[in-house]
Amino acid sequence: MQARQGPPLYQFFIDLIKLFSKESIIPYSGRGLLIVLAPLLSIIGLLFTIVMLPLGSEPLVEFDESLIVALYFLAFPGLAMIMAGSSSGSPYGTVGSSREARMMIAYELPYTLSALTLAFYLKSLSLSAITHYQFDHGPFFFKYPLATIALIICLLAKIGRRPFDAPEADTEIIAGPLTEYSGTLLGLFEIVNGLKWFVVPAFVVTLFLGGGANLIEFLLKCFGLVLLLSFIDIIHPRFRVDQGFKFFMKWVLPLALIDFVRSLILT
Amino acid sequence: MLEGLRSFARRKSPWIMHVPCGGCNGCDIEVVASLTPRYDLERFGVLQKGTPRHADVLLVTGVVTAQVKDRLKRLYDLVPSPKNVVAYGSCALDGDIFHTGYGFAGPLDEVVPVSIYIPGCPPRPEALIDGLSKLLKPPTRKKRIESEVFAGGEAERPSAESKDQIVTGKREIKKGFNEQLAEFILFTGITVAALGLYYKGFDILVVAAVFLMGPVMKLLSSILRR
Amino acid sequence: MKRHIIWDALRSILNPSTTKYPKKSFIPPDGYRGAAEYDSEKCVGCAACSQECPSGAITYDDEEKARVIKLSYGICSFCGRCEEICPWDAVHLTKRFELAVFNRKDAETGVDVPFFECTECSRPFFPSPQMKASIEKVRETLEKYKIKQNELASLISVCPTCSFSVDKMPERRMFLRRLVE
Repeated sequence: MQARQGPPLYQFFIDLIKLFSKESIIPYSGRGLLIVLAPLLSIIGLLFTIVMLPLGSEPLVEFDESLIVALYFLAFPGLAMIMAGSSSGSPYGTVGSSREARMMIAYELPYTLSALTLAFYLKSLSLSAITHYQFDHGPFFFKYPLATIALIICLLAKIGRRPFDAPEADTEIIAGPLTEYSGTLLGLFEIVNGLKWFVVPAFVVTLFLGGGANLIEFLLKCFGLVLLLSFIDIIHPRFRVDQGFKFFMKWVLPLALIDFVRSLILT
Repeated sequence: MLEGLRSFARRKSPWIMHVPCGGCNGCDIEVVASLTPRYDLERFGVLQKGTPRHADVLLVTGVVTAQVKDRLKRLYDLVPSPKNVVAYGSCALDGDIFHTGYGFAGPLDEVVPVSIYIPGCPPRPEALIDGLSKLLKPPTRKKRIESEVFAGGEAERPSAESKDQIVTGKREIKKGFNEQLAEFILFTGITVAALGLYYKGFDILVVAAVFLMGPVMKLLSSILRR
Repeated sequence: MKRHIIWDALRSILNPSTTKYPKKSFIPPDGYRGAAEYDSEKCVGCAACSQECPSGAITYDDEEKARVIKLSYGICSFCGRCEEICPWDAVHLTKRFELAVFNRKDAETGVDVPFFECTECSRPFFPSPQMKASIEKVRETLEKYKIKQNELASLISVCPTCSFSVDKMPERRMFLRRLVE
């Protein structure tokens, strides 16, 4: 869309290798342990979620409460970014982490409510129960469309893309919470950014769009969702933090609440 | 083989930070113009970053004035090695028309070590592309060995005033506090992981993985860094 | 109107407007002011470019056997005044813009103009092409005035020291008297 040649498709991996081979500098005015811990926590959260998702077949680790545990682990990247920003000692980091905290309050609530509508409908918290139900009766998108739409809008804020990318705003605060990161630690955060684009839509595809009978169908559905999210991302400018907060409270939360109440009442 | 992969990755993904010192800003306009779709520096993997901690190449334009000299030294210290400095425009070379002025504080290589100079007033965006490609892949084999800064050589270390700690750098030769801490974390992690596998407790495995990830990543980066 | 925009956006994916610069060479348009080059056959060593250069990029130095004119690209601002002022048409601003160097001292150009030796004391004293050109001009003028040149050989191709020496004074006076008549 920009009429330019652009970098090659494998540029992300080259960036990662280059970042891992540079030195990481921990600034003197930051807390060393928390700076190193933040990207590790993000990766742990995302990897453990992947292990629990049924990617078209049985998940690797299966137990009865996997929905709640998946929600718990998917909150790690946001929390880790808050920790990274406030422990790095520079004002850019502090501003970025306060913006991220504000956006987390805004989007975690409709996100959790949409996920819990299914729990109340099926009376079970297990991800494989949700997948089996959708295999028999069709995706949940047709039963609870408002919750799906609310969840998809929350995805944009969770991945950190426009119109809700105020925490990592490139032109206002130089890199947000990641300003003082370099080398290996920055490479870990780049891996987290890349993984988030897969894990978070995969979670939504499992919950609402029918998990897919095999891996190919699952990946195709993920790809379609990612395409939709990229499209919305490209055409929008950036919301201010308070505008984003108000948007979530005014428009997204009522959608999630309506479907949540519907699932409470109708069962 | 690892050496080749490392220098390939460093050549194909130079992240620049544009530092405008004093001057007429003509060179700054040309740098910004070369990031537009027509000349497109991004097809070489170049990303323009705002913070020196993310950058590999400092692109310095404009004449070095007395005000900017100390700040330029501090910016150079903040860039993690291996790093390069590109002096863009005649002002950074020898001062252009400002070299007799009262604010002129010397050519750029008396403040920071420079890897490549691009004369011009202002140089075309194509001259910037040419200079960057000469820096990333020098023309002759002898020059390739000389410009080792980018293929794994070392630049100067920060001055004594900077108290930043360097993790996973080659400079930590003796076993300082960081090395011992890393070993302690490694052994704790292995113990906790063993306990978690024995009792099949999921949350214990989380804690173990957190402890283990750090040393694993440190090992990976020290392999790639060497 | 909207359909036109979408069509343009789709077309720009297949046909990007990026230049193919490093793979295909690029010639700037006419009138582009690139690096200055000296034509060593035309330059007489008058150093008028050095007088005119506004940034002081052109310097000249009289060494033993030649006058060395040096143009430093680090101070040059590529304005083109040296090309305008040169009376012998020896400096030209070419279209060359790929000037990246690894060493600051490599970014310069120049010309060496050899000196002319005095016929009496054989000491080099003045840039040779300019001397030869002046001698040509004097010969033309002398022909117009119908004066024989071989008499005046010792007055023309000599250095100032030899030319004003005491034993040449009668000859000079004779020459000037004949010129006045």
